[in-house]
Amino acid sequence: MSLWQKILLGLLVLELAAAAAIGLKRNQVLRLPEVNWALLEEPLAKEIQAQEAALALEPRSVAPWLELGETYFSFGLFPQAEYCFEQVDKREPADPAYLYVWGLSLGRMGETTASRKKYQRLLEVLAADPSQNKSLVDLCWYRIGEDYLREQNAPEAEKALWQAAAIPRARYLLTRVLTRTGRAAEALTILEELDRQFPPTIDVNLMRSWAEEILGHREAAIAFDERTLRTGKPLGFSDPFYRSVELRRARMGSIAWYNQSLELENQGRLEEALNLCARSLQATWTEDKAFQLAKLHLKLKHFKEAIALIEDSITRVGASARALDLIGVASVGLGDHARAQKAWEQATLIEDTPDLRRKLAELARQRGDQESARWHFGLEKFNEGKKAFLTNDLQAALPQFQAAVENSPQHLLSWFYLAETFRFLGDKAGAERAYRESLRLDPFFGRSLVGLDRLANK
Amino acid sequence: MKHDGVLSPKSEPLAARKASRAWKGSGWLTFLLAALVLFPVGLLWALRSPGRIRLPSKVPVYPKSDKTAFQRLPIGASATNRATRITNVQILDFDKDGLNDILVCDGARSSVILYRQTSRGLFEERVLGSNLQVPAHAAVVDINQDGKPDVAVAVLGRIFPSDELVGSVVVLENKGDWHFVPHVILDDVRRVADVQPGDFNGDGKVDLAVAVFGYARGEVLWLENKGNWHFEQHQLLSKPGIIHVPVGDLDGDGRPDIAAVVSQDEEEVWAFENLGKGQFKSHQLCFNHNFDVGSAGLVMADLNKDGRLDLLLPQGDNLEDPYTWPQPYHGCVWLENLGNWQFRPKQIANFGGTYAAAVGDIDGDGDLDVVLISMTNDWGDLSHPSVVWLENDGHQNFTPHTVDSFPAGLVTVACGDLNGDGEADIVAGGLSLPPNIEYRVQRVTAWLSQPSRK
Repeated sequence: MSLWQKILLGLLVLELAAAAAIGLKRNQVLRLPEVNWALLEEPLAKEIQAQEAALALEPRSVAPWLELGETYFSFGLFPQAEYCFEQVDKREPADPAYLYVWGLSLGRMGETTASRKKYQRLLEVLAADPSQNKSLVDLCWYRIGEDYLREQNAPEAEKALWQAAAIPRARYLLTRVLTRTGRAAEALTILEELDRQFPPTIDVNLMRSWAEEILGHREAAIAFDERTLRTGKPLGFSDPFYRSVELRRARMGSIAWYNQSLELENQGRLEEALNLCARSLQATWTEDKAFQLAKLHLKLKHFKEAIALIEDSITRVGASARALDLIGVASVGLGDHARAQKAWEQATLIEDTPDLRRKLAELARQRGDQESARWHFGLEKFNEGKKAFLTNDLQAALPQFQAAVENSPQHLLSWFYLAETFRFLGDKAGAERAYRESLRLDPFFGRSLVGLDRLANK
Repeated sequence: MKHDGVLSPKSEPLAARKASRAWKGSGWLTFLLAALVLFPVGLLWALRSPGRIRLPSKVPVYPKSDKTAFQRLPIGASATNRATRITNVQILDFDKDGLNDILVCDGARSSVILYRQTSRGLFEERVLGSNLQVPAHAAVVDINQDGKPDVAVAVLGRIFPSDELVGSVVVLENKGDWHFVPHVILDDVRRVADVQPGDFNGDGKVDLAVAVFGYARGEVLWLENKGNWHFEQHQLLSKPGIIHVPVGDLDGDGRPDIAAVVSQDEEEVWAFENLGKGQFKSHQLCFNHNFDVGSAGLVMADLNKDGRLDLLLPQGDNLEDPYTWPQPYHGCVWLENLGNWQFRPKQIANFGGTYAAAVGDIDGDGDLDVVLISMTNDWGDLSHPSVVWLENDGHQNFTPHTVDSFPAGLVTVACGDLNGDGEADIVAGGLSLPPNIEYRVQRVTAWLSQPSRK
């Protein structure tokens, strides 16, 4: 073998050694799950890819895998999230809380048996720890109960939900199971307690109404059902993990620019807010972003730009009361009162508000149309009254409705709501008078006929 | 050197043997050099980006049927600066010209639109009503009995969940020559999702059943026609998330009954037995402990052709969170009418994100098949279907077949014969809501039965 041959052979051996070393290292090279990036807007996709790149720098650590998993989860990439949680699990982190998120992720994919196993594993870990996190224990039981309900296994769901009874929503779900399995009276006890703790919510009052109905208590059923007409509050449920999901959604992608724009607006930095909002809108169009940008233009007295944005929004998703309201405001800014009037009148047909009526009354006064001004003033009072009525503030609602019928006596709903307010306040005579006035305007107005009937049967 | 077919080195001349040795020496060198150069190249190739892991999909994919084929056809123009928010499609012959048309509720355009089939396969657009804030459903019926079809429209008021009193029922009175006059016959109610006609009190006038969806609270109403566009409102049920109120004679007594599906975590099906003279008796037909099952509609049809109207319950609405995933329990339940207000539920298909069902004889074999569409599937994988049909073997055993995987995000479907071949074609409408970007969505799409498969 010549010297050259020996040198070449030596180099080859060196190469092979290097290849072996690289091969060993390669076993530890990060492999991430496939993502169809077309599902996500570009700024968001880029931010997630940046998180992936950060993970590549320290693939043995738990934190970046958990972070990426939660990000995938937040944006609907559930199989990818599950893959990350598996990686977290392999790295045996000290904090077992990831099992809860993993369970949620599996649950979102409908893998209820697998998700339950994660919660149960977490419960075992927490039980071994005297400083266990009680709220996490409750959440695990709650989610186990939910999973059993998804599997239509009511007896097991019931057991789990009892374990999670510290969570009001768990107790509510329990009452749902109880009313459907012939135990409405038992459900009522829980519902009464929930109503005392969280008055007044739509869900609890509706369930009370159904439970009373099952028990044959017709009047009570009607009373609780009517309560649901005077509240807009649902029985809340708070999950700290879901709060973090919402935060993540608010701070990633183009929506983050929109949220920053809101903050800048609050600080009075309108030009900066406008630029950031425009950037966000350009990345992905949404109605909220378009409205915010239009509002900023209005604040900066760019009336034409504001109108153009809203008109574009109407072309995209149709008109709404708030869109037409903004066109009205911008039109006034441009001195076009006729257009403002048209826009606001159209807005009231979609969703009437005191503010719209106030503006219409003002325009009517300005053009000397006292009759219209009075009509709109009456409807402003009606809408004020309705706002109070829908939150069960009947004392505040009453004078508003009285003013409404005085100024807009031909407005049927003002008479009807006045009658309802009187009835709930116990003024039978006042209620009857007002119902009859509404029926004078429309003899077939069914709600007034029902009201009169309930008045007579009380 | 070849000699009688045998290669013999000994027989080579000296010059040739020297050349051969020289070649062998240089061959080693060439080999080593080549190895030195090629090895790193190969190594670099092997060390290129490892690529991503393709995670196995757990979402079921159904094969296409070898007996049927469909031709996809977009209906109406799509505009890039307009959101896709079709809420309802129906196939009917509006103008009675013998060609079926397509009636569409378009939430983005706040309009009820008729795609009128002027000749086979050609559709012209007619806006029947506008300024309708998210029309959710339209029922064609001659309400004032003047011989012209009017259109009763369920107006949601808002597409996003809300308990605000923004819903209404508007009747578009047909004045002829494609001129319609709107009459608001119900307002100051929560979001209205459906309206269906029927003479419920037997007075010869067309009354209306109304599904008030709302959000946390909703109701089933019937509106008694008092004439001159006056309707008296009667409540039948107070439950949240009423989606559809199909009308039909469920007990065979000759009077129209009303069925209703309750969603929003309650997941129940109710029927209101018409006792005559405007009196109803309510029956809870079934409920589901799974609060998450996502009832998405209710279809009335005599699926097994036993003379009793059955109900089909598509399930798969999981819009509680903006980012969704198909669930194993999504699909379609057949509530078989056994008579005497007994209904037997049977899951006839599992299909993730099922949002609507329609019934028709897709394969022309004389029995009724079912079409399902999906709103929320795993759209990242292009193989996942958005439209499937369930082939009925004549004994109500159903085999799912994929019709198409495009477009995605479908929320409404109808069956009817569009091309006049006597077999049911399919029309579906798409809807996309933020924060999801519009990905593979389309307003209205038809799938026509292919003549070649006959």
